[in-house]
Amino acid sequence: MPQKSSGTGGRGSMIPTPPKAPESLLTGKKKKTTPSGFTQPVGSAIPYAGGTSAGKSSATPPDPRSQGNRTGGGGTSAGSVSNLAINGTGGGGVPGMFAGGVNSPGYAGGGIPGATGGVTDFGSPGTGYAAPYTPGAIMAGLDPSYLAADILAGMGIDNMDLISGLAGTAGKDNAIGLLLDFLLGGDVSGRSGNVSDDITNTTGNWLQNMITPGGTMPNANELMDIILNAPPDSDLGVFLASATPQDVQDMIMSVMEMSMGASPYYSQIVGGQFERDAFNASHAAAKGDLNQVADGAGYLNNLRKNPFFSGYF
Amino acid sequence: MAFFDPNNTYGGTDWATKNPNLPGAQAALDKGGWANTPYVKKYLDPSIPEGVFFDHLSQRGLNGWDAQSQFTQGLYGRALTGYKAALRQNPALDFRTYLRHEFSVPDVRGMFAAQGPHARGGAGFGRTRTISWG
Repeated sequence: MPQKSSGTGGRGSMIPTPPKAPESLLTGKKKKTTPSGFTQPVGSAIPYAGGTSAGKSSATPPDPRSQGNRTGGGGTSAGSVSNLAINGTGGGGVPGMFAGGVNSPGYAGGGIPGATGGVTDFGSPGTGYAAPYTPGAIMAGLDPSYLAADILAGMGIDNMDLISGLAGTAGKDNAIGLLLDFLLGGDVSGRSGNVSDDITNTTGNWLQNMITPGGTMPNANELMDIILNAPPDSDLGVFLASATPQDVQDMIMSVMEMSMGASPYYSQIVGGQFERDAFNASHAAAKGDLNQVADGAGYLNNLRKNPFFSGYF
Repeated sequence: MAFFDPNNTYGGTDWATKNPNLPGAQAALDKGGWANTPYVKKYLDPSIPEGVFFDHLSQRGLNGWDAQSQFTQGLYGRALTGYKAALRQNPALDFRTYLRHEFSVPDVRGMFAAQGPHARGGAGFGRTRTISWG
């Protein structure tokens, strides 16, 4: 008899009920808690796995948020600060989400002393995995295949099947990187650097973790819970409400594949479920039913009511 | 001779040996290489269930030519069927976990012992003696 994988069970079924997400994950304040439950203070001494900024001279840089130099210069690569916060849960044998440290000389050290990285400053150089790419390419949403190719090249692998396969784990349009960035990056106003840069690094970390022996996966049930129950006023809630149904689908599918990659049969029926939802919405809209799904918020609400997603997986 | 040696990385850690400072290299050398990565376990394994099955048996010394190993290797189809049945109970169940539940060494020994002499290696195979009463 198969055992429950996690959770405490619920709804009278064999399907486990996921634990509630820690509040800090939803608000992005004070502490960073990985989906695997590991808690790490903001500004931890644990270095960002690939973002050895040239501006950092100490292993424990001061938290620039408290110093108010988030958007500017002074020899501290602002882009690296956000990365530190986001990825402070990984590396170095710490039981965080990403078990493998990424201190590759090939990808690290994008930070330039004095470089600015304000939210509106899209022209600053990227750090970490984003370092080799132009700001324009990063802003346009970097194809995760490029990151996968970079990472695998370091291992002497240039097999296109493997590159595209690895990139595929990041989900469509970096959905995994985007979601994890929301969860680990804190609220936008408190970020230090270029948000797209952060997402690129989160995705790069994800890919590196994927091919690191002993690497760990986030708890898919927890992530699912976070998506479906994101408070409307949280960063993630605001994003989901403004996203298109397709964006919402991409994010949910990417999370589900973490768990249901184990069984392609379920992935197929989830895809079918999404298609049916979309069909029902457009069908009703064609009949003039304006209450049907017109945006991400409505679509997300529909998903919440769908019995298929009520117990997650 | 066996088809698969679970202790051989088949060159999968060569890159780590040559470049020990690359990210993940030490983990690859210490923790078994590709087979122990999330990519293989979560994304590759579902597409190669027969490989997962043979690896599971090999880890338990059932990859040889002896009668018990041969018998067990022939159960792949039934193992997959059982897994699909179990999948109806737990959508997140993967094949490897299922095998750990149902194909442990004692399980396999029990299955083998329950077979007739022919399946167990031909012992007792020969002419049938008839016994008449009265």
